[in-house]
Amino acid sequence: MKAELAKLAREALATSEFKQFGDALSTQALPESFGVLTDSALMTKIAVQLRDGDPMHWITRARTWDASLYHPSIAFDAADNLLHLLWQDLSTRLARKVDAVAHRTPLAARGAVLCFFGRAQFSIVVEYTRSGGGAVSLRPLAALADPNGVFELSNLLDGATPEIRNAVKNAAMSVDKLVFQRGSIVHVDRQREDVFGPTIDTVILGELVAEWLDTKTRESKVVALEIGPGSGLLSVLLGSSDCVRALIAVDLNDAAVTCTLKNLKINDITLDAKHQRVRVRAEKFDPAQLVDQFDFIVCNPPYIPDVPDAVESTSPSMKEYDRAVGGLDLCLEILGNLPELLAPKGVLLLMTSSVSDREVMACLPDGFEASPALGADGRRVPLDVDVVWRRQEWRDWLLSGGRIERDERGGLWHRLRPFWVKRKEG
Amino acid sequence: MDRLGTYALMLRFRDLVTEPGGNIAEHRRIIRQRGYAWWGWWARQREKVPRSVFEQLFAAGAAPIEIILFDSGMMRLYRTLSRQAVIAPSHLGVNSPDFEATPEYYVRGRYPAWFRLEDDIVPIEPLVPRIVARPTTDPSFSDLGYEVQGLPVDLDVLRDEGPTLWVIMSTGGDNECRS
Repeated sequence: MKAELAKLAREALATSEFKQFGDALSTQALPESFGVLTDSALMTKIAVQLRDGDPMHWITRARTWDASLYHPSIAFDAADNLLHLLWQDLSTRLARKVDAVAHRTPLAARGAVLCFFGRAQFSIVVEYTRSGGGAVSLRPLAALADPNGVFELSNLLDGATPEIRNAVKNAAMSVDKLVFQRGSIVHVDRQREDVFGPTIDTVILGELVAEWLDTKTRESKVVALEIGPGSGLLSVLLGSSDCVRALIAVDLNDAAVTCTLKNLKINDITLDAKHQRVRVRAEKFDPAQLVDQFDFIVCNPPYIPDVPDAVESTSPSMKEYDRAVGGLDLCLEILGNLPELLAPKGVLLLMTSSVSDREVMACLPDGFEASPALGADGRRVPLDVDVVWRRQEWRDWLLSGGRIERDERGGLWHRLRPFWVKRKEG
Repeated sequence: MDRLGTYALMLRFRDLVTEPGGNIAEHRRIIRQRGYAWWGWWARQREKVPRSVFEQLFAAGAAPIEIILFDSGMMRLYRTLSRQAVIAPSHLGVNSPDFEATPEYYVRGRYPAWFRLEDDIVPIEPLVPRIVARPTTDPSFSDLGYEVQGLPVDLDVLRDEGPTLWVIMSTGGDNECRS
């Protein structure tokens, strides 16, 4: 779908005729909108026209979004027009979604939505303001290429004007965490809900889920399972798809279940007690309780391994560590039960990390094979687990094994390595 | 008259999504609150955006443009002023530049043009406007000459015409309803 949209965009740029591209944007079932900017041929054409090679500038420049500047005397060239159309499409969809959030839950009058495009290749921080009557006006505050997290304060503030810095800081301090991806929105109230909300791991899995769904048709009638939905972004993406016949989401955390249910409703996913297409269960993941086999299973489990005996410590903070990261138990339990859980042609999408993927892959059941979903290198992101930072012996063990890297500023990084797991063929 | 330009814009509207009189009442309320309100031009599909005409009327430093709002349902006329227009770069239209200054009932809409109304909207006595141009349906028309006097056309006739926007001779602003 993205390739088709990018082709229309290139044609529109060449001919300055935007009707077909505009119509295609407004009729997409799962909108890519700004995702077309990841098309390298299109990027080159825009860069030549705008004499600016940084797509992140293109998104935040006033001509893209500020209608008050659209005086009749201003001539828009084709690249201006294309970017304006992308913004019109995103802002229309986003305004509806922010409206939907405000109807379901208390929402601050001003805040920000973190939007992701491509394979999380860039993000846009969009400020929203709700008028007295509730109408939502939007403005792209900042855009980041290859984001390392869902809200990277230091990179967003770097080089920003004082006005933008203030707006970004206000967004960071807001109790409302809003993430928009592939036409769906997820809200977490950071003050009232005991749920962390989508991280970069979730967003990357979201893209992979969406890409997998793109390969299916309505006739596929997929039965899907999400283990540990958290705030529910992946369940929302699955539940929004016509090709998913049934979805079960299981989470041990009651707050996560409540948050997932809220976000399903925000995204107009009907939780019909009679048909039960989508079910969210507050319980520990127990394969014995799941009678179905699943065509698609997705999980973003804890992936920091248990402390090895060699570096075992009796320090109280190690207990804190255990609570925070939870070890690989869930991961191994899923793999151990895969033969029963997965339908014959089914797939498991499992997030792992360089900190533990070798242990996880060693537990692949017989008859199954795994392939990296993001290539062998995965995606390098910061290791934002405070307890690992503080435990020197543990940190050194991870560094010496090449499981994490340290940058010149002392920051710790790991590589996200999601895997597709399925039965071996033949 | 001396603070107005030679030409005015007449915009047709009807109260289709509000109660009778609701369009005008909402815009007036916002103008009183904020000093201005945005009026979206809800063009018909076959109408073209007369960019060059707008460019001439809203040129930098030009006098404010008299806007005549023609309620073709109630056959009433209203008058206000505008100094700024925004034009959508594409056929998909554009959102209001300022949601706070736009009536709620159409703030989410995208229209080919928005006019910033900056003077109270007042009812005026019925008149026979002198039509200078129908630029949205006459693509050959692009230049506002100053020798044109316009042809008088009854409101009944205009109501049955295709365009929703006409360039007319300015009324001079001395025709407010006395009642």
